[in-house]
Amino acid sequence: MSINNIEEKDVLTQAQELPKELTPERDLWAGIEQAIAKTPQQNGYETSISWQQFGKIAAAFAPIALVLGIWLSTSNEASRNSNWTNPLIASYEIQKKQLLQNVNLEHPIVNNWQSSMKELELAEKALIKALKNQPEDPALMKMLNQVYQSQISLIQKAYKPQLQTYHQI
Amino acid sequence: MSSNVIAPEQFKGQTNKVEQDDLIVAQLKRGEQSALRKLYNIHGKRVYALSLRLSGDREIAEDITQEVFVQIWQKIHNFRGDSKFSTWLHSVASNVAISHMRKQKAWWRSWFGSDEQNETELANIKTNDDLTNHDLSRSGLDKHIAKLPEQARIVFVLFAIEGWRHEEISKELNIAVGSSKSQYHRAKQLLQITINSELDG
Repeated sequence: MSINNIEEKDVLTQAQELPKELTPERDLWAGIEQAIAKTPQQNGYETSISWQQFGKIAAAFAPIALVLGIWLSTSNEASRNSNWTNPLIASYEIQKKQLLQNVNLEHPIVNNWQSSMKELELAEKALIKALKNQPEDPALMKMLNQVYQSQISLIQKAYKPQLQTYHQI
Repeated sequence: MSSNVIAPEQFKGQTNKVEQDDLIVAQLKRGEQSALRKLYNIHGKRVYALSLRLSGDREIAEDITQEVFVQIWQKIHNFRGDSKFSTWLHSVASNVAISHMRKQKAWWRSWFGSDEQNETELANIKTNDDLTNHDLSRSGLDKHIAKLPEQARIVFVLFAIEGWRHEEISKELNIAVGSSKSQYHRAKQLLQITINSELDG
């Protein structure tokens, strides 16, 4: 090791001393100008009017919300997902459920597959959350599709012999 | 003079900047496009620096910076003046940057790639900088930050450079506070390792 070795605290000090401003290599204004010419501002006045009307609308929908609330509290999460999310999510959830129903969960051939599944489920949740902000974003949909395919592959890999037997039957 | 005492000139400068921002915000709310140009001239480099450090990629940072100012234009009516405008702007910038990066492949590789894989990638970084002592060049440290695994880099930038709390980072990234802390320590360790290996030649 060199005598010049730096400590962790030096890294932090150096980071805090980094310049707060950096200059882009190209002019970015032209692109911004073009984009805002086509982009209307979201009107704050309309938003505040909507909030004023919100009370009346909420009152009108209160009985429906009550019934919905009772239904949600009595139905299980899987059935809610299949009804409330888009067809892609619902179809994968069904596929996953069917696979897991046909295997003995105590005898996987891959150890710790559940921890990989947890990571994939975390990614799935993050993507679904992102899709709520940007519904039907093609890149997000594609990634969600990949995450679901990875989940299915993981189950198939972990229970390959059992699933082979199941398909033969 | 103690470092936390603000000199009168500095205080005047900060106050002027806040007043300037307030004026621009009022113009933006009236739909004046020229005000956005002024805003870009004042804050553009700051937003670009944040975007570049979070994304670790120049082209992505340019896209993020442009998207930030378009969103400011669109959503200026959401700014109610509860905080300083610059605070709101940086929060919008971080949101846009993270949302943009979620769409990139590297984001998901950082979730699924193993630590070993990420660290091997980091160890293979070749640099031309001639660093001979503790005093790293600023570009040198930025270069190493850019090569950190995605999650570690974002947490490090937000915590160490931008001064966010781990609670705020965990909320923004939808991760546990403990994960934010561990990613931060991991980033510090990785930076220390790569910098020292470079110093050792």
